[in-house]
Amino acid sequence: MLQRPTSFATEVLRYGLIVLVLAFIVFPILWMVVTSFKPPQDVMVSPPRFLFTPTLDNYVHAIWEKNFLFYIKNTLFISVTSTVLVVVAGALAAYSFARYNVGDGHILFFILSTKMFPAIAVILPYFLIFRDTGKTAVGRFLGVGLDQPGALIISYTMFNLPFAIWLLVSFFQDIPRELEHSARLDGLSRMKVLRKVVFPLAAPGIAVTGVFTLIFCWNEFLFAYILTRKTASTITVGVESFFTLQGILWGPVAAAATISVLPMMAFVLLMQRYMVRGLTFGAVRG
Amino acid sequence: MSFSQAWDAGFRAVLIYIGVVFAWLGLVERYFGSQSVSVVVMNVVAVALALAFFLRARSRAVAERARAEAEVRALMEEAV
Repeated sequence: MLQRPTSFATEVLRYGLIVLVLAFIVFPILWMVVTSFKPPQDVMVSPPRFLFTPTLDNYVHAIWEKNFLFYIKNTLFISVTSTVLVVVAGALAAYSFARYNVGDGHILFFILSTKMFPAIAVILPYFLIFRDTGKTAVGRFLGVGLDQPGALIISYTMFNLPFAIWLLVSFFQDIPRELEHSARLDGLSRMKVLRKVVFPLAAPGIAVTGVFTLIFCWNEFLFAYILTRKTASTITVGVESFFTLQGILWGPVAAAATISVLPMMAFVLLMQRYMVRGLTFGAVRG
Repeated sequence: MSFSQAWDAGFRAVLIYIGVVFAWLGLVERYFGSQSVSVVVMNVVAVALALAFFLRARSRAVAERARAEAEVRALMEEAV
């Protein structure tokens, strides 16, 4: 009643186009899930078989024979630790850039410039640094060496920090300075203003930054593949381990990929409301 | 029900379907003598649950929209 009337053909065309684009996005995920339930003889047949007897054998193979839960445990520890570091350091840095204009914009641009080269360009220096650091007593104590979680935590933190800072700067810029001035007049210290006024107001933005960082860390492959061998391997490397010399175990690969996708999907669905609020936070500037 | 609401509900319904398949194969199938019967019943249950979820989401969205329209109508009448 309150909407602008549109013709039926326009509506059909619009929704048809949206369905086409969304189906294009969702189809690979559905294919992966369906393949994970297929018995081995139905996986690589042509034409593809959609009617089959579903089985959990691929999941049993992935979880029990390949010990896939070990990779999930590693990934969870590395991703969560890295995300916490990125959000804490990123929020403090972004606040200083937004409020005090540190570096007059030049440092902010320099930080962004570290995202301009591909990860493969820095992987060799990272490899050498962590190889040598891991041999020292401090490196061994902190777990910062090749095939140790510390190496991945530091790499992910360094690589995600610029993105987090850039995302958070705009959120902090949208918070009125007057609120902070009022809190200062009420006798709060700078840190208390930050903790009790600024961070609660920027919470949706911080949540969005945390979610995106967690997703990046969870799905990262290159650093995990080069910097780990066995003890600190993550799920992406775990999925790759199904590519054997005898052939690719497509069923277990699909099962492992489904297992690795499910926690993130559940997390994002739970956080969906906050993410939408965070992404539209500050969309209208006064 | 708007398109985005329908898509969201549909995606969650698919996830419910997959969840039922997981739970059925892991916990329920062993109690069936015939695997083919189990698969048929599993699909019926999964489709029914997914459909029920979607229809519930649809009725909620329709009710919400009707409520919002009534509110706007009341405000417009007030303004006049």
